[in-house]
Amino acid sequence: MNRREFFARVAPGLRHADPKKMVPADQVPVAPPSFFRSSLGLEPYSPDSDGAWDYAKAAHLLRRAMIGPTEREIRDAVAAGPDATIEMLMIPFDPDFRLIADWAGTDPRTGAPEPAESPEFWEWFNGKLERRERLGRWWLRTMVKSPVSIQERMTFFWHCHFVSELRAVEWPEFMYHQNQLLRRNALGNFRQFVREITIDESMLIYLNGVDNFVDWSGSHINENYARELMELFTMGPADWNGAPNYTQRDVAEGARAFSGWGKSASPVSVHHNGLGSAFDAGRWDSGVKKFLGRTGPFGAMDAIDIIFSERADQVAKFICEKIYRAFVHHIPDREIVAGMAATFREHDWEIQPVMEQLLRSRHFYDPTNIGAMERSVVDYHLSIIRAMGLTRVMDFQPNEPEHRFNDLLNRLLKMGQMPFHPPNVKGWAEGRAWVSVSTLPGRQKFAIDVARGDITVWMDNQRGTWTLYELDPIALARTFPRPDDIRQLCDDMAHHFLGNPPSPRESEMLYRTMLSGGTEYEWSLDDPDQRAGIRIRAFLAALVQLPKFQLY
Amino acid sequence: MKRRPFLKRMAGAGILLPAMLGVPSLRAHARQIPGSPFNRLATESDRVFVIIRLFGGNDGLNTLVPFDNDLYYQARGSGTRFDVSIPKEQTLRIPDSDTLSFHPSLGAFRQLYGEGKLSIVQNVGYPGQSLSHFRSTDIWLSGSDAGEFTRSGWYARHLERKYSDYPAILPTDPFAIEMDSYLGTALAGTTCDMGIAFSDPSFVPGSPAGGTGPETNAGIEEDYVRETIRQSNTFLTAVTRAQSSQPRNLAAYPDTLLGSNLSAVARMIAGGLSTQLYIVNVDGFDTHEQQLPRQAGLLDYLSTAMLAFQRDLEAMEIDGRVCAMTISEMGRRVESNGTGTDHGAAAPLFVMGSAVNGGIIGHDPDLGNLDDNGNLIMEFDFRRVYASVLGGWFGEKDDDIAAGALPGRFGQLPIFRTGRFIAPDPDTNAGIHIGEIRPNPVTTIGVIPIRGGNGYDGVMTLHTIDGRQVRSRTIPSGASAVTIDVAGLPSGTYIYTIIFGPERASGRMIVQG
Repeated sequence: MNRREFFARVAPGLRHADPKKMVPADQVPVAPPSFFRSSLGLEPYSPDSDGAWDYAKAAHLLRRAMIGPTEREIRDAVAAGPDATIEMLMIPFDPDFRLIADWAGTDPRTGAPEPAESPEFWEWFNGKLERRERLGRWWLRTMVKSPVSIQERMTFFWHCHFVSELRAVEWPEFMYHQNQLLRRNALGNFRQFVREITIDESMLIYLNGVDNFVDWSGSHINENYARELMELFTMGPADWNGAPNYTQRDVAEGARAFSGWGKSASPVSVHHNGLGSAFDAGRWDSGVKKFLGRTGPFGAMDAIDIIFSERADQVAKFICEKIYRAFVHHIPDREIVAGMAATFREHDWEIQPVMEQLLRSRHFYDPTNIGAMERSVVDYHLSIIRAMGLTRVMDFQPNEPEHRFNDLLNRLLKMGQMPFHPPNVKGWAEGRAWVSVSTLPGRQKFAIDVARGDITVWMDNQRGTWTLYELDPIALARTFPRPDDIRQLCDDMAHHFLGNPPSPRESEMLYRTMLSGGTEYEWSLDDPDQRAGIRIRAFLAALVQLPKFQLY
Repeated sequence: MKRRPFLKRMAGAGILLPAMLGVPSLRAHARQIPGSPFNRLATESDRVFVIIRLFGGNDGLNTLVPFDNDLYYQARGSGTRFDVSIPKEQTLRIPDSDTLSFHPSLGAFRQLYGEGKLSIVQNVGYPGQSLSHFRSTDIWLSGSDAGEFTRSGWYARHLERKYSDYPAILPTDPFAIEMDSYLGTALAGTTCDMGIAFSDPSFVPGSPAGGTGPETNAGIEEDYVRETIRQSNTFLTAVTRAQSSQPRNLAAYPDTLLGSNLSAVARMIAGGLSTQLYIVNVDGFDTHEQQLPRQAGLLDYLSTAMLAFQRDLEAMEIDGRVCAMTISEMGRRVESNGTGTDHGAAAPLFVMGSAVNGGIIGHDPDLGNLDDNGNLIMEFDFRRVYASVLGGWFGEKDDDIAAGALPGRFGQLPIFRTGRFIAPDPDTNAGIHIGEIRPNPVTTIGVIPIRGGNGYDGVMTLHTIDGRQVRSRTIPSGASAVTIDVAGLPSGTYIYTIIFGPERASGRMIVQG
């Protein structure tokens, strides 16, 4: 079945009856008092009924499916049309590993060299911290250097779902290994994904799988993973009618099934740990378990299969609702989610068909859903870097002997979202949580400073002051189609950088800022007297303070 | 400090430690404003309450150790490979208890207890304890029943009822501050946030230009962002002003995130911010493994910072109007799981301040009577503690509490010394009639006749004349008298207080040994 036939088949019955009805939203955290529900369903968007495939739609698709699309990428997507663009988004790519190539994929030395506090000890200790920083910098760079692909957005989505924290897992080698697992499965089969993440060594460490065993001394069953697997990773605590999906008994019995998995040995030395995990039948509770209504001497994979067979409906809806909240709107439309869940199950838990259907749907392109999400901290900062084409992002450089540049990492950490450091097992909050009186000023300040070229640092080894996050305003303007027409450039840049088109008043304010006392007919990027670069910087500094800049 | 040198420093310093996340970086460099008039909210009370939330579920049994209870040592695997018990000889004895003692890391708490500045409420929980961190946190912060899903917070609903014109009219100072990068459920209102979260108020605010109205979801979110801009400007100016009028602390805090947050809270209170509730979060109490070393570190981290906070308030002479309380979404399983404990139910909580009734409220945990999951059974609903904070501390009426913050009437516990004692007079205590204690002086047992008070569980407390609590007991609803056993009390004058819901009455009695 090709995609069109497939869409034609799932389309009926998903159409909403009432056009744009206001509905209360008291079920969601930090909810607005009301929101608009799209009347459009999952059937494919069609230019005939939904308006031409234009800049706004192409930009919407790329902003949601990747991070910080550039002007040229959006124009290309307009020309290519939705099918070809979505097809391209689904193509994976190999990240550039140069920043971490010296250790990625190797077994960590987990045992401390003796004697403690010897030079070897400190080299080992500091080396771990340094690699942990580089891991974060590598992923941020990978997201920025990504071609037009959904891969990193999906991988980050799963990082926010199958949460592990680097500070608890401790070893960057393990977290890198998990990150590759997330990337490999990002559009793959969700059931297989759960099987793999369950015995991933980072997850075993983070949620106490390594502490969950039986031995000669008795039972050391640890419920942590079994509970979070059901509560957060697969089915959620309750179904849509509020009925509990599992009991404390299921947690306790499930935990027994998951016992016996632990870290693996390394061929390198007894002081190292291997990547991956190992099953020790002697540490597994082989007894009969009663789990989600089934009885038997289950192991970890049996328990997972039981979750997917006994709670298939709940799992499909729970996961699709999370996808909806991350890609469409933070208030889920359950009719749409039910349609996605049906697709998910029809395709035996394949993720890609669900994503293709959603990103191709009329619902996704309904104007009410465009520009209505708050950018996360990572999305916000990386979008600025990528879409504005900033250079001298020092975190992306290889290590200098004298300096460890973690300026970007520090910013993200301070704002509350650094990759590999989620706040807890539930991951980061979403939606409005990103924009509050505590975070908004800092977010605005970063963008204003970038626009003005105000982030500078003294470089000892260069004996001078450097501008970080360097913006070339003239080069940026030249990526737009008509940079020599000041009105057109203002308009195009505002449409590019704002989640929604500016209001007439905002357009006028932006235009006057760009003009800043000059005249329209004198505008020229080439004439140094016109100081176009300074004007573009002032324009951007005003633009990033509009509320629409926080949205996408 | 100017930005450029600051950034220069940052770039060389490598990554910030996670412990620095959320440290308020307010620096007071403005001139001092000695006589700055306090900018009060439209409220009669200048009292402040601080909530320290211990995320993950603090293990109550190892915090307040039942050191002579064999069941505790059996369940905690004493002497086996499963041992997560605290040996009796390591614990710190509580002066007036023969059965409970503090965890060895809680020297600071014992000091506070000895000064009558620590009130301990035993076995706090709620019916139908959820064993999920997030669900249980939601319940604790929303104040809802276990079976009810409420997204707004208990304190936010209290504020919404009290200040119904917010946010149309903004106060000069925020109602409540959470020292974090996010606002938790406690301050999330039904329509908008009722407090602010901040960790870094250094910023350049932008002014919103006119935009489109909320014709779409995008318009609704844009309005939200615009409103956030408006609020952040107003409140952060007030916070900065308060901190600059009280630029330094008068006690030394431990060099930790909690110490830093509490020191900032003290400066904001002393600087005249009229904010009445502060929330500080501490993570890490989910001790499924390696509980003994981890909890020892956490309790030391917690109690030393709290003691420093109390000493700072005392030195600033504002300790009479500030109290602080710990909460945690659950206790932990009675039985050891190897090197830790799994999720549990009821646990003690701690209220610190010069204005609390020092002592222990409630019974020792009953280890012989556990629920189906092997967890401790609760004695006091946590909403009763909240009702005591709103009623006993902030002076709210019971009707208002039940109509706003909490789903019903929960009665109050004698956690706070109110400082004013009402003579037992049937006419002024309309709902409850309390007679004179007989005999007076009391030699063995005194009896106080009571009438009314139906629908509430009451509480009787007995204090020395200098405010130290020596007795506490609950009075079942409908009781016609309450007895006080004075055996073991030194001769002298004592004050008894009886509380039924919103009503309280006190009287003097003399003990003759």
